[in-house]
Amino acid sequence: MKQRGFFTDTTLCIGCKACEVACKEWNQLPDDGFHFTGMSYDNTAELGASTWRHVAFIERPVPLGGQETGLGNFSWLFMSDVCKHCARAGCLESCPTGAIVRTEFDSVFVQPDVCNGCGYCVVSCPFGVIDRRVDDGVAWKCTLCYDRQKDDLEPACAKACPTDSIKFGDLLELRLIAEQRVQDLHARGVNEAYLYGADPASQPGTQGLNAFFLLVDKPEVYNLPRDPVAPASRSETGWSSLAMAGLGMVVAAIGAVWSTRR
Amino acid sequence: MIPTDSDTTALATYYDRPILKQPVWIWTVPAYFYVGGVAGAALVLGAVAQLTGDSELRRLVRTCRSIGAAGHVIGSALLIYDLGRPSRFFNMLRVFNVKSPLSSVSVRGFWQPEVWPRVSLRLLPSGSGSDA
Repeated sequence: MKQRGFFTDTTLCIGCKACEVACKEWNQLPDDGFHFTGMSYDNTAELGASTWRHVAFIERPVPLGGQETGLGNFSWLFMSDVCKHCARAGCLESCPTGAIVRTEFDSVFVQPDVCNGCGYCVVSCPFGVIDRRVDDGVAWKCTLCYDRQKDDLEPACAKACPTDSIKFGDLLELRLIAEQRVQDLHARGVNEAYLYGADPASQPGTQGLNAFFLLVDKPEVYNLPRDPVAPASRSETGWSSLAMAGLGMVVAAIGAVWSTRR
Repeated sequence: MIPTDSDTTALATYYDRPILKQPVWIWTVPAYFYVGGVAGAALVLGAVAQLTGDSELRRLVRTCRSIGAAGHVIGSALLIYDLGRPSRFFNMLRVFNVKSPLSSVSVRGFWQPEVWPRVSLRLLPSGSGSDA
């Protein structure tokens, strides 16, 4: 089966939030409480258990490369964020129930009828994507519309995107499209355009993202980590620390017993 | 490739919002670390005391085993209480995942054959004095 994923080209995003709405509609997700963040047009604020697409609104005090606007030193950046479906997924590696699986489309899927809500995936995601819902106690995140893919339909967010900022398809094809897009943007003077997580070489900690992005500023500006790492890659250190601690405990116990003997 | 602080804009973060999610764990998890640690240490101490074969240490061995058994029961209860769906606790025992410390420890901890018989012996009044 082909690997399928998202290429989200943030330079095409107009911040309409149609992806957020389509995702909520299709997946029948509950609302988040209609709060105002007071920080921007972004009132969703973050991805979570009931928000699987989130549009970030960034007001920059600098113009975009190769652009002059009537506003002077200003540019809007929008980015529709989503679960990255990492090639090496922290949530999947940490799951003790086997609820989180890799599907035939190479996406990462949480089986809601298996998850027992231990919450280990929540701290193991280097992107802060997956979260536990308060009402049913189970972890939820983007499924890459697994149900729609089963019927050869594209995910709801990509379907609803009016500018094709969200592209869905075969991962290898998406990478080619993305590389061409970066070259086109560079030719137009948008020299800051680059791909985030498009391949294992550029993001070894996750071995590449099945949902990758084209960005024009630092990852931190979009609330993305610069160098995300699946925590289990450090489990060897953890296990050897455990072994040392166990050994120390045995030595201490032997010492304690020895000291009682004449 | 990826721009650094010296490049581009004055912005450093996204409205100072955290990138990572807060843990959903409640007080029972740190409580478990303490209870489980004490129980584990007691079992190690008891095992070493038993291996010496010193009859004067028989009482220490028994105490250590009781603490270990009680900690095992209380620790399990604390961990299960923390789950979003406690009734699905057993889902944690159906797979073994070396990369997940939570999986390894719960599978190893719960299915260890040497402890549960002792737990029952310790907690039953008639068995409390026996040297199981």
